[in-house]
Amino acid sequence: METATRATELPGELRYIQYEHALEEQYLPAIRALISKDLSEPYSIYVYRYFLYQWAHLCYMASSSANSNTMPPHSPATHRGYIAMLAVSSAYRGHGIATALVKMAIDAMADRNADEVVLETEETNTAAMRLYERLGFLRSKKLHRYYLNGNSAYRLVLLLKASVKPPPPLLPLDSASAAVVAAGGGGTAEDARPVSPTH
Amino acid sequence: MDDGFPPPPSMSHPGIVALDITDKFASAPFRRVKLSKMATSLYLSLSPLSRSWTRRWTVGCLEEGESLDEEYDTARDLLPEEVLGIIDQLLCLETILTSVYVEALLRDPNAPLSSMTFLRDSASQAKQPKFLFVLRAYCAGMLRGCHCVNEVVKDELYYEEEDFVTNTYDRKFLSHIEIAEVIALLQATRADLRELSNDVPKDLALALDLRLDCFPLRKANPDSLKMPWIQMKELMKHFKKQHALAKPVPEAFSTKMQRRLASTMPPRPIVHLSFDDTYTHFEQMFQDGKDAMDVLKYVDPQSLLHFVSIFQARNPQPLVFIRTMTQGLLFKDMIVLGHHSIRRILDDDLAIVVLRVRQLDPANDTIEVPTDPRHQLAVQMETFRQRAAECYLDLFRIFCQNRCRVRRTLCHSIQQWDHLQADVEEIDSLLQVCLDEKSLTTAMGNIGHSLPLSSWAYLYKLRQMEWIVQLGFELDIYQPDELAGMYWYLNYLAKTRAQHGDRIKTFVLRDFTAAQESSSWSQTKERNYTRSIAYIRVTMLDAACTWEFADGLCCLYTVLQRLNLVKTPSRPYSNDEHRYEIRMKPFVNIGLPQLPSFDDFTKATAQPETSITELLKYAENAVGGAKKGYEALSRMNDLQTFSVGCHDRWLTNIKGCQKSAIFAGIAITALQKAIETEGENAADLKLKVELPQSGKGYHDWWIVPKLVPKSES
Amino acid sequence: MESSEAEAYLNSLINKTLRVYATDSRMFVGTFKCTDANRNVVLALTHEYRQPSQKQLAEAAASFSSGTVKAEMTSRYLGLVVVPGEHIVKMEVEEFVSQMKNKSALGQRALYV
Repeated sequence: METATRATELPGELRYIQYEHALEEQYLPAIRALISKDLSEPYSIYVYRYFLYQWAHLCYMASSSANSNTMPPHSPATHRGYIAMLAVSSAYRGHGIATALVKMAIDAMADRNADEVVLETEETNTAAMRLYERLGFLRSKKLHRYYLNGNSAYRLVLLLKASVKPPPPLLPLDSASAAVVAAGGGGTAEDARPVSPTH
Repeated sequence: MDDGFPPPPSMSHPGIVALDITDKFASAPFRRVKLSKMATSLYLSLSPLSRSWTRRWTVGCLEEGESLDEEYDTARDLLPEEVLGIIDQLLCLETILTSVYVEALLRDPNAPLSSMTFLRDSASQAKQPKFLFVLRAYCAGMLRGCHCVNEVVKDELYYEEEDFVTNTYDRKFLSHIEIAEVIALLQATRADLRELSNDVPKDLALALDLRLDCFPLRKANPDSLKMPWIQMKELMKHFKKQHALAKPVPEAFSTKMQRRLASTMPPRPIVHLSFDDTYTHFEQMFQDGKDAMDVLKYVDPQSLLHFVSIFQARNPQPLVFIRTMTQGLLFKDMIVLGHHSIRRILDDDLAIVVLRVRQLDPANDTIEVPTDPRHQLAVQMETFRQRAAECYLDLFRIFCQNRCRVRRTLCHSIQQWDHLQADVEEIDSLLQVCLDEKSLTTAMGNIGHSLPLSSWAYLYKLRQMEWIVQLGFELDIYQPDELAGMYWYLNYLAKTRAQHGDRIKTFVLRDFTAAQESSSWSQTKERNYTRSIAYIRVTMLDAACTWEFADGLCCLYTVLQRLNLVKTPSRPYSNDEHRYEIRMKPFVNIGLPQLPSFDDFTKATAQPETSITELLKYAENAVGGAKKGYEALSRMNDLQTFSVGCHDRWLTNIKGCQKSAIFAGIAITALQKAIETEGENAADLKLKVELPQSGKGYHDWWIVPKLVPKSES
Repeated sequence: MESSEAEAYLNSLINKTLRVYATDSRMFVGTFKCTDANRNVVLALTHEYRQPSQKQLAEAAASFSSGTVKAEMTSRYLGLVVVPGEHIVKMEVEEFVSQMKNKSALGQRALYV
């Protein structure tokens, strides 16, 4: 984003909008067009709705004539927030729109008592990584060939609340992963330690 | 492969009728229908799919005029150079399921080899194009070969999609056909091809012949396991030279082919790898395959661990086939390297790391009197082996994974070793009664009992904790302002390992002295003690190098941060303590060594009481010490360093560390000089820091900053 | 159709087996799970069927001298899919003949409730 040509002035006034279902017809086509252009992973319309229906209150858009958006839901059982599908139309980059959207999402999740916020970003997307890391995210692990295009990803974590100490000493996995798996949500089950394959 | 997909429902069941609802469905005023209930139930059913919801599962629809059926006619006539062209294209593919010829050959999954053809019916068999039989034999060999590779991969630990896709989407790659039959076909085809020598230019005929020879499906002679790899490498050189003769047939490949596969995955793009790049990949794989066979030259388990960990650490990493094949060589049928029992490996390792002669004496097993302490020893040692074997063997397996997984899996492994250490300490205390061991008092005071088994586990746990941090550097996990802290933590772990090594050494030396005086002293015993002492020395030297180097870099980065040459982002949503919690999560549950508190960590890293000049002086000495240590290591031979069979690679690794230390020294000196002349005001220093790009430094585990003059702007 | 009636109708289709015909002459047979304002249809446990190609028909015709030509529809398993509404040309719901008879006594509407 930093390297994109900066528009000296934004074309038109910018409005930040919280998503709601009634806006689908008006905005979803543009959102889909923007995201399929900027992010490598192909998403079906139901992936959008997965986020937009269940977590509309956590989804934000910035709009003038173009738009950008972020759709971060969090799972209430684990209090782990998740940010997905953040994109800013290239002509509008360099104005802190993405940062503003991410901040709105984090604030909303913090208000709803999230313990942490996680996301994945493509290893080649240095601009996105810088954005998140400037806000306080840390890379917690690297995920080998995570995307369909063969690129690896980093998982980024932002801790909003310190965990209760001391942690129980005999948990088999790190507690967060275990909790997420139990809730049937996150993608960390793959992290379970390897068991020698059975023959 | 049968993936257990449900069979397709019969389309014409007499008990079922299909009612047209097109209009009624379309006339429903969708806009006003509240879909939330419907949607919610669907989304609930989706969420367990976890990651797969991010994949596209919209059925791709064909464009107007586009056909799903391939128009390409596999019965068409092919010039010999086109046959070569298709073969070479197949060689370059990431997925062969885009080839119309492969699709045609697999049309009937259970057909005998003789009736697998590119032609639909026997009528056209008679007028079969002249050179098609060459391509058919090649495809058969290739598919059977791919099946073998898939089986090797699936037998071991790997990660589907992430490492490799073994899923063939219900396509059987000739798994029902004997290898011998395929080889016979290849041989017969070569003979038939020679018959046609008048119709094919000589060099082209040779090129086709060699391609039919490239399937080392024969059972290799165990004494010459390297031969197929060497032969393939040579063949590949010919392929490269002959490739110019080939005429590509791009229309024989299409991503559309994949739409016929049983899968919700979108078709994979055809990755267009150039022939030269393909050649490089194959050349490296054949070299790796040949090198991997050296793992069988077992000498001692420490050399074996060095072999596996260093072999797999190469950048780029060996391909998944090599990584799974290595696992097969290591563990197939629970026999290590095809010869050794797990007990032998484990006992060998204990004899090197924490030698206790009486505990490891196999004669103990023959004592059947339960009250005899030797019987007790045998029983307890067997309990130990049962408990420790899996953790121990997993170490070797972990290193055969992709690098991201190595780090992540080690994070889980250290939890296991932490429990293991606690469990085997109980065995230690039982054994210490059997052996009537006295606690030891040295100049340092009473240092307790030897606790060999838990000492052994602790040493491995520490080493793994260091690896986790070092892999963090390698995988570019840490931000620049985290480097000081992470090098401090690495220094803390290595120091703990060095101290622990010293404790082990004290007990081995005590036993050594006592044993020399006993009547049963033998040359074998002397050799074992010498070897054990040599191991502890080299371990302590290695730990000391890491300790010093990490300490030096910690001080250097701390100075760079104080001078604001390494900047700290403002991070409005985070604080240092929260980030420490995330960063140290893999270590927080580990009993020993206990994770330092956030305050201790901060103080130890930032060293607020120490001046910049003092810090740099300290860094200079530490890095200099590390450099000398690496020099000493690099002068030692393979036996002394337990790198038998992999000494060259081991030495390259040490030299990389040494070089890193030299350049760290240069950076420190540059900074010292600048401060001497310009003072400690960052703006006056006119320096900026450049960090090497990931994988581009002298060693992936040592991120050495470069101080370069700041251009005037 | 009234909104409530339409909703009831769509709900009645849930978990029934639908045959959805697409513009490219493919047919998807699966369990109806969901739809939306754009008539996108989500089917679970879906099988895809394709008509034999002209070539296959010709080949089949060539190999049989007798009157009837039989070429198999080719199928594959897809699982959970979305069929985009814009590509749908025809939809059918599968009903058991036995149940049809029972229902016909109650009138056609009973099918939809």
